[in-house]
This record gives sequence, structure tokens and C-alpha cells, in this order.
Amino acid sequence: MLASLLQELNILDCAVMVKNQDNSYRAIHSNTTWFSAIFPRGLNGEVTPENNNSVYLTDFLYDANKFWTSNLDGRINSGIWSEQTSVGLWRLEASAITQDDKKYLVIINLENEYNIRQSTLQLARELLISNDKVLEQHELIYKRIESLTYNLSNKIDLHSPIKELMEHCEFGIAMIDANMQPLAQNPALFHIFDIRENDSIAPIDIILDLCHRQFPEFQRVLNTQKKWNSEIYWIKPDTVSRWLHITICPVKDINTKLTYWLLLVTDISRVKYLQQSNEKLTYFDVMTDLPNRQFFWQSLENAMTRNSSLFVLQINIKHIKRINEAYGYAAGDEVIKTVVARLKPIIGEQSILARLGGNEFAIILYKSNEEECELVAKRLINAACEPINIINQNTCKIGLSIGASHYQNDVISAQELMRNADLAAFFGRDKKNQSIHFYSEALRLQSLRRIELEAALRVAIEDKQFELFLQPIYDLQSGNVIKAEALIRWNKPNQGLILPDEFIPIAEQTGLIVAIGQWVIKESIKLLEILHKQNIPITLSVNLSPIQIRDQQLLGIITNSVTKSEIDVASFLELELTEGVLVDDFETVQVFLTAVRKLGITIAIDDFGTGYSSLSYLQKLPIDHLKIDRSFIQELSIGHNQNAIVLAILAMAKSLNLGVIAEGVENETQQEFLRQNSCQSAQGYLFSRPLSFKQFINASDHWSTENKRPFSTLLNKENSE
Amino acid sequence: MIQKKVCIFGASAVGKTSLVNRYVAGIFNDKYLTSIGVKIDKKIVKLNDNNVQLMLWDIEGIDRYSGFNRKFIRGASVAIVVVDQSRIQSFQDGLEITRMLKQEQEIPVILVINKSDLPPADAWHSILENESPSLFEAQLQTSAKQNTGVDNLFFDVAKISLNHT
Repeated sequence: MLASLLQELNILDCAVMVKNQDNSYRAIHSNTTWFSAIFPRGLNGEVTPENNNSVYLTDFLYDANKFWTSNLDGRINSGIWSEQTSVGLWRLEASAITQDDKKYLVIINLENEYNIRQSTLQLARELLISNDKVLEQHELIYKRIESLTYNLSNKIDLHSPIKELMEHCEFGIAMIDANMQPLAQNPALFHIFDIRENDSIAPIDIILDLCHRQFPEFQRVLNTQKKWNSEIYWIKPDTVSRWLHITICPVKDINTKLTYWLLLVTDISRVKYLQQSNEKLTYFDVMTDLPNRQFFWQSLENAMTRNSSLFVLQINIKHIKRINEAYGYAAGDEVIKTVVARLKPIIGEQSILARLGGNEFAIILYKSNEEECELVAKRLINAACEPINIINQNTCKIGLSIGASHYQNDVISAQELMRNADLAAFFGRDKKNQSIHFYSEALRLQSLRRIELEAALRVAIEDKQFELFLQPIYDLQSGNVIKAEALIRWNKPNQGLILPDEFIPIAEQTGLIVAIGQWVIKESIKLLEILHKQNIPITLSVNLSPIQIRDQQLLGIITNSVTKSEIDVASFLELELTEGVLVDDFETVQVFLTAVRKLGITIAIDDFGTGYSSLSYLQKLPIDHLKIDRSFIQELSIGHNQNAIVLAILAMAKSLNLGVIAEGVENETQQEFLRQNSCQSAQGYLFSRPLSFKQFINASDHWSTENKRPFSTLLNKENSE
Repeated sequence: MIQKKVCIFGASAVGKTSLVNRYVAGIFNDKYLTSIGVKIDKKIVKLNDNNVQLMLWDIEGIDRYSGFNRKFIRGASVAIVVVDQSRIQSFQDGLEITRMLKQEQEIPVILVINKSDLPPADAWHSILENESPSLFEAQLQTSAKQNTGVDNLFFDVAKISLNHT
């Protein structure tokens, strides 16, 4: 019995006592030096734990007796304690056990476990304290700079005490304007990144790039102007790598308008490397128990030295942010764990699945060709995209975008391999469908083009290279122009007009859409004022992207612009949003739309019918118009199914008392169908293509004399002139 | 002789063990070594008419790796909450521990601001003033390193413990 008990307990350096019926104890295993020091034996060798020399044990016996009285099989533990006896210091733990109606008191010497636990926690706590200190230092500098700049405008005098404070600070500091352009970076920051002040790349570029890459929530932090901190890992290939603690804080003016961002950077590599003596802390992700980024890098480099054919798959789990926002971060974490559990069996024992951070994962997959790799990727996608049960019996679905890069074919270094896989994954990130993309030269060139465009866009914002074109919207009954949709065009020097399809997605990804969107609002209001002064009292409709809705400055800009105007601009301004915006971030949208509606601005839902099937938001939000997507209108003359959809939208809009605008009307049949079915208004090439403001003004001269389709007629005239 | 149980709580690395070691054994080690579990030391304090034996329960720092264990407070006459004046976070943690203690048992809690040999963290004094000092029966400054305030602390603890049965 004793042997089996000790075997079960997996211990030998212990004392075991059986509690007798008369509440006395019999020691059945106690050949230990510490036992005698704690338990003086009676004349007959009996043990009386109640008379022991250990205060802690006496306290535990109170709990033990309560437990034994319950007569339930099981065990309670005292927790570890240190006992100083005449023969030494001992690390002990006591257990009260009931088994088959027998009651045992077991005391175990946990010296080894104590030492292991102490060394693990020593490191973990040093890290914790170090982290606290970094945060406190960052907070201190933030508060000082905030107080120094509280009453300053956007222009920061870099000869001020701020500059002095920055220059003498031992950790990195950068100040960045609202468009993420650097205003100042201190010498310590350059030192951290091992670059000189006149080098082509600045520290801030590296940090923002790393943050965007490693933290999916970073853009949201910027959009919502929240304080945020985290740790990033930076590698300068072949020379240096560093762990950095980053804090980013918005500094706002007296009107709570963002003046600039303060970015604080501390090198925490030393503390991180201390952790390396503890493999579990260093190489595994706590939440998923998967290898982490560091383990993955090492495995990849090792695998490449063996020269075997392998693919690196970079995986992004889509919609986690949406799940976090809707159900909380705990639910998001559970979803990630479920996805991991589904992916692991598919990749097999030999391959390595690692969590790089947030919703980013990577796999080293030993396959010889793209076909085999694609097969695995499709299985991963299928498994991951099955519905997942979350709290309160809700289910959710996630998506995967996978980028793959092939070692041997594509690259020579691990860094390049990862970068290429990341690039391929990034390419698929915006696609609605689950997808795998392989890195290729074409993809690289496409990426380069994006980077160039992004840089050019920044210049375009500064140099005001944008122009608004107006596409008239017709009242189908009267034939009069009642509105116009403002559409942005980019007059790129030496290249001519660039359409929004090409640059808006990049602007959205980079956050530049916020600045562009603000310009569009201001410019639209300016054009409205001119139109009204010229006796053209129409409404202008302006598109808003999802990112703009989360721009906390937007409402202030609209309110300021509208109230400053000499005319009642708000009554002639309409904002267009897509269905996806409403569903993605309902609460933010509700607050925003209610506020703009109070100003007198109307709201239209763009591309209606292409988005989500849930229409409950139509009743909950202050919406005025639906714009039927052009894809339904184009099919009107052909298929009965599309006719049914358009009729259903018209009927629904009527019942909800909403106006309807048909987009993309290109022929008489479509126009006639819409008019006969009481669609109020329409736009499209049948009437007019988008016109420059000057063309629009010229065309308006003829509106009073022309009745139907004046714009197409006029446009043809203008074009032929 | 009267025995009194005194529990010593606080965040990690605020100096709980250092205070006990300084008081009981008269020693101090500058190197931080994290404690695991509980260690109980005893020392007799001579008051006017009484000798009080303090049973000093030095409890592992409360942080994300080790939570608050309510059973430790059972039978205690006084709780000491130690904070490190060079780390504001340790004060925030100390306040949280005190609230948990008060929820568990009505017991006098003494705030010990340790490491008085180090400069206080920025805004330490204003935070200390603002953040509910009424929670504490007494507030003392100590430096286990320089051996300042330590004897006074445990003398006061003994006095307070006698008033709490």
C-alpha cells in the first residue's frame, strides 16, 4: 500500500502518517532528518502533529482536519513553505489525503522543485519589474512633454525645453505628426537602430513598419488615438537584433485634437536575453503553447542549412479584430486556440507551426512543389473556416489568408524567405475569399508599385494634387439634376489622372485615407458654396471609407466646416457609406451618423445589395437613401432574377420610407424599368460621366432648357468641341 | 507570553524578506532573490508590561505568478503591506492587496514604504496623498538596506497587534 502510494506521489523524500481512529497518528515512512526536527516523538515512538514545531504545519492541520471530516476521497495541499530547523532550512509541502477511508498526512521535501521554481520566477519577476520601470519612465517623459506642449500649436519649437529633454533622455523618443510624419527624433533613438541622422532611413520608419507588421491592432490604436505599448523585435540582418519596448502616446491640444504622437523606445534586449535560460518562457507562446517567433526563426535557419525543399507559409487569421470587438478578447483568444487545434493535425509532426504574434502564424512545410503546398494550404483553410462556437451559443467564422515562399526557388536567406511569404500573405489579406498566394517576381513588382504609389500619395496630399469630379444624379420623374456624387481623381504630375480604384485601397491600408478624406469633405463644402452662389442649389454626395468613420477628427472637421460656411451647407451634403461599414463597427457608426444627422446632413448606403444580408441596421440607423449597386442595374435588361432583386430593394425602401438611387444606369431599358417601378433617382453614363468642376458648371447652364438626358447630350457636345 | 501572527504582503521585490531578515537576523543582502511560498520567523518584542512574540509570515510577492491566498490571513492580528517607493506600480499593487485583505477580514493594515534610501518615483508623493491613505492603520518609512525605521516598524506592529484580538 505504502509503496503504491509513494509511487503515485512520485516521491521518496517524504514523511507519511496515517491518522488513527482515536485521532493519533502513526508514522509509516519518516526516515528523514528534517522529520525528527519537526516532530519530536513520544516515548512510544508516536507522533503528535498537533504538537509539532512548525507554525505553518499547525495552521495547515486546521484545514486538513476540516477536509478529513468531510470523508471525501481526495487531497488538499498546504502550498510550499520554508522551515528553518536545527538541522537546516527545508522547503516543504504538506498534503492531507483521504483514500479508501484512510486518512494520511504526507509531508514532502520539495527542495528541487523549489529551486527550479525560484529560478524561473526570479527571471520572470525581474522582467516584470523591468517592464514596470520602463513603463514608468515612459509615462514620466510623456507627462513632461505633454505639459510642455499643452498650449503649443502643431508647430513645435525644437529649440525649446522639449528638445533639450529629448536630447538628454537615455531612451529613444520621436515626435510624429498626425499624418505619421516625423517632427523630431532624438539621438538615443538613432543609436538604438544603429543608424546615422543623415541616413536614408529614419528610426521612426523602422518602428512604424515593425509595429504595423507585428501588431494587427496597431492601425486601430492610431485610428482611435489611444495610448499603447508593446514589445517588438528588430533585426538588422547579419549584424544586430534588439528587443524594444515601445510606448506610443497621443498628445492632444486643449480641444482634445491630436497635436502629435509621442513615441518612446527602450532597448530591453538584456532582460529578454536573461530569459533565455528559461526555454519555456523564451521560445513558446503562452496562450497557444505553440513555438513563438524566436523559435521559428531558429528552426527556419536550421532547416535551411539542411538544404531541403521547404515552404514558409505566413498565415493571417482574418476577422479576429471583429470577434474581439463583438465578444471580447477572451472570445478572440478562444477562437485562435480553436483554429490552432484544427491546423496542427494537418501539418503533421515534421512541420512547424508557430505563432508570430496576434493573429499571425507561420509554418515551415517540407514539400517539394507548389501543388503539394497548395493542397495542404487548402486543407488548412477548409479546416479553419468551419464555424466556431463561442460564448452564449454564438458561432463565428474566420478566414485565412496564406502567403507562401519556396526555399530553393525564391530566396537565399531566412529573412528574405519570411519577407517574401509576408508579402504574399499581405497580397491576399484584402481579398474577401480565403486564399493562398505564392511569392513571385510579378508579385514583388506589384508590391514595389504599391510602395511607390504610397510615397507619391504622401506627396500628393501635401501638394494638393487631388481634384473632385462630379457625377450628376437625376430625378427620374422630373429629369432634373438634384444631386451630384463627388468622386476623387488624382492629377499625378507627368502621369495624368489616376482613378480611385488604383490609389484608394493603398490609401486605406496606409491610413492616408484619413487625410484624403478630410480634404474631400472640405473641398466638397467649398464646391457646394460655389455652386450655390452660382444658383445651382444641388446636394453633393461624398463617399466615406471605413477607416474615415473611425477617424475621431472627422466629426469635428465636418462640424467646423459646416458651421463656418455662409450658407446652409449641411442641408445639401450627403455622406455615403457601404453596408460593410455599418456591420463592422455598428456602435461607432451609430454615434457618428446620429451626430452628423443632427447637423442636417443626409446619409446614403452605397453599393446596396452587395454586402451583408442582415438589414436590421436600416431601421436602427438614421439612413435616408439606398444606392442600388450597379451590378444589379446592369443586369436589368437581361435576367429576371436581377429584376426581382431590384424590385425587392425598391419595395423595402418604400416600406422603410427611404429614397432610392440607381447606380450605373447605361441604357434606356434600365432607365424605363426604374422609372416605371418608382425608383426616384439615378446616375450613370446614360446621363453623364463624372465631370470636372468646370465642366459641371458649364453643363449646368443648359439644365433649365434641357429636360431629359441633358448631360449626355451636353457632354457629347463638349467633347466634340 | 503573548503570540501574535503578523502577515507581510506586497508586490514582488518590494523588500518584504529583506525587512524580516534585517529585523530578525540583522542581515541585508543587496541582491534580489525572489521568495517562494511562505517563511515564518519569530521575534520577541518587549513592550512595557508584556513580551509579545511576533510570528512574522513572510508571504511570496503577489503578482501575475502568485495570487492572493486568503487563508494566510486567518488568525492574523496585523497585516503589513510593503511598497517600494521607487516603483509606483508597487503602490498600486499594495492598494489592491489592501482592498482584498479588508474584504476578507477586518484587520489593521500598516503601510510600509520601503527603500527610503532610493529616490522616490516621480509623482510618488502626490499619488500617495491622493490614493486613499485612510485604508491604513499606520504608515511608516523604512530602509532595510540602511536599517532605518525597521525596529520602529515592528515595535509599532506589536503595539497595534495587542489592541487587536
